[in-house]
Amino acid sequence: MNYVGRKFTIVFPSLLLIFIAGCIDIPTNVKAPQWDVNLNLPLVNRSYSLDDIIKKQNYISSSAVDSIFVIQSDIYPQHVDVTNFVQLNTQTSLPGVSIPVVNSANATIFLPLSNGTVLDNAVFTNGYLSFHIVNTNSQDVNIVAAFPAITQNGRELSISMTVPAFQPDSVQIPLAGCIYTQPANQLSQNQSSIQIVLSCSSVSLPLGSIVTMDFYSSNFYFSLATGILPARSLGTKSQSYSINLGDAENFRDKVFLENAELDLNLTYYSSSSNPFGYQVKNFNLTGLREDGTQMALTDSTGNSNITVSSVNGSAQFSYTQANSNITSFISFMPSTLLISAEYIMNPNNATGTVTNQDSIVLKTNFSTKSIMAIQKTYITDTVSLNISNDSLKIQDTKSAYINVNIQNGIPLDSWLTINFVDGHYKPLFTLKNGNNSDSIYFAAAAVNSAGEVTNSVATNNLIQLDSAQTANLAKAQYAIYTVAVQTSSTSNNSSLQYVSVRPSDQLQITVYGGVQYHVNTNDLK
Amino acid sequence: MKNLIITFLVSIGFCVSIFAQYGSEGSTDARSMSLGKTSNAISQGIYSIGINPANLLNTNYAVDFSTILPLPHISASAGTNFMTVNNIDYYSGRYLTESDKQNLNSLLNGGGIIFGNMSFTLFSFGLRLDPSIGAFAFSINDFVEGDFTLPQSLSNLILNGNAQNSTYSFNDTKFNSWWIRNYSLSYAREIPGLVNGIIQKLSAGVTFKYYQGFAYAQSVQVNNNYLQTGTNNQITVSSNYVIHSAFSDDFNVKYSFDTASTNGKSNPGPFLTPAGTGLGLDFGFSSNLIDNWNISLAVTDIGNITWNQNTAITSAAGQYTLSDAFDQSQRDSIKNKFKGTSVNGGSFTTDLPTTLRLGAAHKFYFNQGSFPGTLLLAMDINQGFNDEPGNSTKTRVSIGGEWQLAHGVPYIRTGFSFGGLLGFHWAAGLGIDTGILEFNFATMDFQSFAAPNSAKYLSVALDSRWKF
Repeated sequence: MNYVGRKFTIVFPSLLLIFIAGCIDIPTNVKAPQWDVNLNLPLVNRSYSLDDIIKKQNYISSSAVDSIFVIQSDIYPQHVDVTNFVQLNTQTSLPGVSIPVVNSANATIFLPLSNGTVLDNAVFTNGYLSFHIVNTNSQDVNIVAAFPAITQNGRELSISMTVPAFQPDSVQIPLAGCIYTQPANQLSQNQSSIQIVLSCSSVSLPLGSIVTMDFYSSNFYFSLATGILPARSLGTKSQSYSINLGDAENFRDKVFLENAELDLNLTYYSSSSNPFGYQVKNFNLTGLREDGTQMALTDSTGNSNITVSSVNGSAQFSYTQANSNITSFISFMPSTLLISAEYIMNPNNATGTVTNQDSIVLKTNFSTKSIMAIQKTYITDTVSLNISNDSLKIQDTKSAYINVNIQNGIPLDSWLTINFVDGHYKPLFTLKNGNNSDSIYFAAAAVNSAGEVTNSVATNNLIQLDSAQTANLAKAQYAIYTVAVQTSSTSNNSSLQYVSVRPSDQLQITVYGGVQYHVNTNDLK
Repeated sequence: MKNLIITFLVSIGFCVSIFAQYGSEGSTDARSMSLGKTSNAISQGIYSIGINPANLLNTNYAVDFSTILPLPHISASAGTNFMTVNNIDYYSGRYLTESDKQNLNSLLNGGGIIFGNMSFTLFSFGLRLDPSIGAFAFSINDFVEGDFTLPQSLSNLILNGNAQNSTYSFNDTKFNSWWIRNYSLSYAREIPGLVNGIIQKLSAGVTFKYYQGFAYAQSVQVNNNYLQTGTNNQITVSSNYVIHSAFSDDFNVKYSFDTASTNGKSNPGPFLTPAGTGLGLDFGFSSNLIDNWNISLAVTDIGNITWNQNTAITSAAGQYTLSDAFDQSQRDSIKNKFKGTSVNGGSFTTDLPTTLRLGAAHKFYFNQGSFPGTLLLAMDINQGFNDEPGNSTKTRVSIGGEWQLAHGVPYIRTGFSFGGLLGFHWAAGLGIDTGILEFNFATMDFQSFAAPNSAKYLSVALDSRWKF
């Protein structure tokens, strides 16, 4: 390489590099641009049946018979035991009975049971038989008292005693554990008595000598008794039940129901196959509200007390729209039910068997079908929005719209109002529809005169938010929403239309929306 | 990262010559690059490997080779066909007006291409024997190529959002990428029987290539892909694509269908286990005509690569409509529709970037007292037969000139390329010949340096060659 070549080799590339370096203007602080983008999204496109919306709940079921909702209350039970019926606690007596003192001869007497009770069989848990003897003779008298109807430890109950001359004496026989079986040969006029066979003897008293005896029975308690136990009131039982109305409380005095029904079911529980009959007398059901107002369930004549008698151990009664004020009563929506009734055992003095484990259970429950009329009813609630500025840059949203299209197959008009408030509940803004109305309205399905849905009705609401509102949305901590519903008026607007709300009623919801979003990637870091 | 650095250094250490010639668009040696990738009629010695093996004889040296010293080969280019520094400067941090968005979107008209490629050679050696015997060459070349076509609809969607009742097609989405290596053996000799008054020398050459593929990913089918927004904003996504991929065992790539567990760490090195292999063939003719004219013709890279290790075919077909954004199952379905499903690809074949090359060159020897020095002018027509990485079926035409003021003075080179995948380029470079050693420096995008703020591309190549 010659001299020129060597110089050129060094100088030319150097000059070229200097030249190039001077031309380059590489940006050193590159930032992503910002722009506004319009995003459109489908939000909701769903079809619901009311059966879907109203999830399985304790109180609501679907009737397989006529495909309508049945609102069924809890069962309100009242348990009544019959212990008072299985006892004879009225004392009976047979005073001043003269018994001849005759060797090898017996005297039979009958101590009556209280209230004409006829015992065929019984098992004593408690009770006493007692007698008092006065011996006015000059010699001692030996007395044997036998009870053919009563066995104790498998043997006939019998008492022997010696009464000294010119002395009185007494004896009390406990009957706990004894079994009573009326002798087969006991005459019918003596069936309401306890048979006692007495034998009095002495060493040498003359014929004609007697002793005087008084007989008593008291506080018979049985674990089982068969026979004719006289009618007896078990007393009046009163019991109150709280009803958790929940959100349904909003519909007080606004909902009018049809086809409501209240059922009384009485069952007699016994191990016996031939229990006594019974009667529920003066059954009374009163509904109470927290404010003290009350309403009584009455029959069609206005009578609030009814009487129901059992047949074969059970009894039923239904309050219906035809025979009572039940629809008004349920529409009254009491928060407490007060149930009272008097229970009478064996009102017809019939033959039966009872044990001290027997009981009567009264079950009360009401139900109604979803055929109703609703006055405009408002439900207001507040929800926390939990909007996180980290996850959603709402303040970068310059405007937004939501288009809500409802194809309503449910016969209820509805209105929705949503107010957004800050953390101190200071109002920020209210959602408005395209007509600048605060309420977003969805029309009810069309119904015929019977209240049955004939066609679904479409309502479209376009909700738009401007930049100020979206900015306020970013500040919003809570949304206070009010939902109002009502059934439509009748065709002549004279009254509210009763409608049938059925599980198959459909609600088609199509919601789509969009935002004009300010894209600033620096905010996303 | 440490492994990558070690791999890179080891590769450079093995790097002897790096004059990889490749496809109608791919990397070239620094001299050819400085002439606008004009090389078919003017390549010499080992520079002709991959371009026209007949040109092995176009050298005055018996032996030529390249080593890492004194200068390793670096040939790399990257850029886009839509975004200049001026554009970046303008849009940086700017609040885009409707007009700005429209202009920005128009930059991607027809699809925006983002590309990058790099080549290097582990070994290259040329030996010219007696004309009756011919010339031989051997080289080991690596090529890493990739391009991605960004659909204009995507930028439109990002900038303007999804308007109601509109459809955004993504059918122009495309990407190609691979890393392959060839071991080539070339032979050339003169054909004396055809020499006449016009043709002073006619030579023919052939190169046999054994290819190894280390990584491959390509969209082999993209059609009927769109996003549509309906009247109620329901969004319909139609997704129909097929992507082939294959990776060397040493990358430890785990596909969704793989059941075997891996440690997930790649194990790179200079000699990786191939994921595919294939054979290739180049042949060419070169004729030296009277009055310092040369005309050459070559067809390169006839053949294919069969990929059969760690292959996957990822595809999606069909459409899905999102009508309820709050429905998790709908969201999952539309996501899966985009994502597609992958299955074991078994074995599949990709063509090599077969290219027809036609070139002509003329060398001027100026007389003393008039314009000084010598000037070599050349022109190429490159026609790819497929769109494999580094290749394009769009015809590329280039012209270039190389001027040397005097013996020992560096060559000043420039050239222009038209058409092809990336359109117009203005190339420039320098060559310094010290006798037994020459250096070459080039850029395919001289406008990137002359007017850097208008540049969309950046490319550099440098190399050195020993000659005896």
